[in-house]
Amino acid sequence: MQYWTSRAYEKSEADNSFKFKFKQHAQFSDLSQELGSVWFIELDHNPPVDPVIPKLRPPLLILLNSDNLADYQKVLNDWQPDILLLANQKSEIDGWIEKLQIQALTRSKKRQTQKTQMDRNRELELLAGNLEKLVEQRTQWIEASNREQRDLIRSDRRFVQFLIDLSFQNSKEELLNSFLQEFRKLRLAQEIYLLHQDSDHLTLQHFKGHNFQKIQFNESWWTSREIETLGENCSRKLSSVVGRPVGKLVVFPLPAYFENLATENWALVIERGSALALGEGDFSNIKKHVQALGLTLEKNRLENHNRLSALRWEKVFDGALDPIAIITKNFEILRHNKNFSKNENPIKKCYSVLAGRNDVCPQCPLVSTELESYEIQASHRTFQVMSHKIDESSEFFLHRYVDITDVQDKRVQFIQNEKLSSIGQIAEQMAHEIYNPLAGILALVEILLADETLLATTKADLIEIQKAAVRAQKVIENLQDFVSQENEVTAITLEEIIDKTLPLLKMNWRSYKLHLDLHTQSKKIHVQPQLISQVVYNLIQNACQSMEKGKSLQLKSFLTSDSVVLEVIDQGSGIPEALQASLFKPFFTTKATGEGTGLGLSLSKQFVERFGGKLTFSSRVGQGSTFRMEIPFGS
Amino acid sequence: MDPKIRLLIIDDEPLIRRAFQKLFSGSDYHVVVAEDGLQGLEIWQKHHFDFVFIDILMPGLNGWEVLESKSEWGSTRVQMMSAFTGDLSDKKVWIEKIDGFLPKPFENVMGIKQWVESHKA
Ligand SMILES: [Mg+2]
Repeated sequence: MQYWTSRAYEKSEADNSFKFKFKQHAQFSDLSQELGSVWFIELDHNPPVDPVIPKLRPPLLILLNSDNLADYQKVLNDWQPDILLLANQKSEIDGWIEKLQIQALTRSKKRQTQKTQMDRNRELELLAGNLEKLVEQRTQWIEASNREQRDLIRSDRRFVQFLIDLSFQNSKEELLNSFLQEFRKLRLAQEIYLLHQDSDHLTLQHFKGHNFQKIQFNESWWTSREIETLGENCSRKLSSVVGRPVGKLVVFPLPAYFENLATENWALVIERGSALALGEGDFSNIKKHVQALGLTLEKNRLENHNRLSALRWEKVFDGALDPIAIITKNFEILRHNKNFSKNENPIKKCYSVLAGRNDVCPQCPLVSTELESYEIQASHRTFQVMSHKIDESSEFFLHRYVDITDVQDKRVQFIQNEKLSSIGQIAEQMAHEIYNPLAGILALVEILLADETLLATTKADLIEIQKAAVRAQKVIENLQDFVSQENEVTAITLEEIIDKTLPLLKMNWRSYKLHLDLHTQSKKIHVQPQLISQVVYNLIQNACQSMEKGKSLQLKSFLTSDSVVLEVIDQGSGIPEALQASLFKPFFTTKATGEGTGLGLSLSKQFVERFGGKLTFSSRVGQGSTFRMEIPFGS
Repeated sequence: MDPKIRLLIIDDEPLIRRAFQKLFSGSDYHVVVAEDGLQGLEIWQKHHFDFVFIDILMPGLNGWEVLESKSEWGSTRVQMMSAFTGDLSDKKVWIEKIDGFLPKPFENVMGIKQWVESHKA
């Protein structure tokens, strides 16, 4: 379809003249472009109505090739041309059309130059704009990447700080709480659970408010060791226990870093809001945290384990009743327990701290060898040293010092108790055997004495028999008291004790002159009478055994401001000075085998000390000894 | 009925038996003695006694065993005698059934005779 023809002038390059030219255009926009600043339209026939001439347009000149104006009424109305020429006026317009055309061309040329300039400018502008955009884009991108980098660094820093914080948390509860707070801040989880699985149970541990809660499931619904999103039935199960809707659960197994310690499976369960999905970044972030959690848990477990064993060891070490020390082969103390020494003793020698010596103990296992038992003396006690080599090169030794003083004392006590109880049994049997005939004698004598027809001499004889029998009865009674196992503390005077004891010693002191000089009747002492009676018995027996016949033995008692004192003074051989220090030691005896057990004085001392008293002596060879027993009478 | 008061003395100590025989030597008394628990029990099973004095520590049956074997003795009055003053806590049942306990040596021999006099039927 050819709606439009246009006539335009083109400048001929050859003669510089303008040639009129017809062109056909399919569209008005093409035509108008061609026409440039003046639109000249030659209409050969009535054009369709559709093309609308824009209101803003260059001057429009229309040449009608028909004389019938009416045919063009519509288009003319629509277009409103600036100049309308009819076919018969055609010749007239050639001239000024040409003029117009030249003007238009010049203008167009000018405009073209301008346009080129503008185009170039625009292009430049465009380019600049693009560049700017590019720069802006680059900048944005760089900024974004910077921000990302910064975020990354910040997140790393945060993670590191988090890890540092973790190291201050010792309990699993604190640890889990930290993770929960962190995960919430990072919007990684709404709730987290620590999942623990052993052969029987599955336990979820989490915080409910501020309380650490454990939920136990009898069934196992987590089987794999992989990261796993649990099914909705799990959420439902948990929901029924925690009493609120539970979102999606994802299990992250905690890596077992110390396989040999891991007997159970641990995992961290992340609960997300139902709508939230985990992005790739979230996943790696969580994994990173889970790894840290696993490590920290293991670390804490190891630490606790170590701390506990250290503590336990410390307790055992310090709680041990025996002094214990780790010493070097040069006798330097490395460590020791409280019973070895209450103070810290760095670089000190064991013999100086324990035994208060300036040189090595004579029977130290580190210097003497092949002894059956290594016994050292320290602060008036005897220790048996148990030495254990700690290392292969024999640099360090563990020494345990067993206090055998008490063991000895206990042995002595045991023997004495055994002796007493067997003496007690014998005394009991003897008493019975003697009481029966005594009862007969006394009964018969009493019956006989009731006979008023008796001769006076017979009566006197019977009375003597009666007296003797009564005396015998008293001796038996005293013997029973002496060995009695009932050791009740009683308030009693020293005189009473001596009265009961002397008859038992008649055999002993019969050959000596006995002087009693007792003045303590007014004060009672609180003692177990049989024990003190045994002490008195021992002292008198010892004195008698040290004296020749006919010498005198003096028992002197008097009061001091707070004590009752008994002195047993003999005229015996005296105790050599060399033996005096060992006198109160168990099993020490100067008597011939069979005459004494050596228990007497050591036990006597113990008995007296039991009631707050003292047993001391002074002695001179050839002149005799004085043993002094002091017992406070209290208030 | 025998008008005499009948007494049984069971004790392994001859002096004790002799003392009792002497104490109750009048015509009002009939005293039977036994040297140990078994003999004493045999006699006691065959004859009635108003008073029985039993020593505790004896060869054969001891005093308590004599009581256990006899188990019932009606109106007979029983006294135990012993030099043994140990633990009697497991003998409570018998101590409640007997009439007295005489520790040896006796504190008052004449008192025994007075007690018998005052308790004869
Ligand atoms: Mg008897």
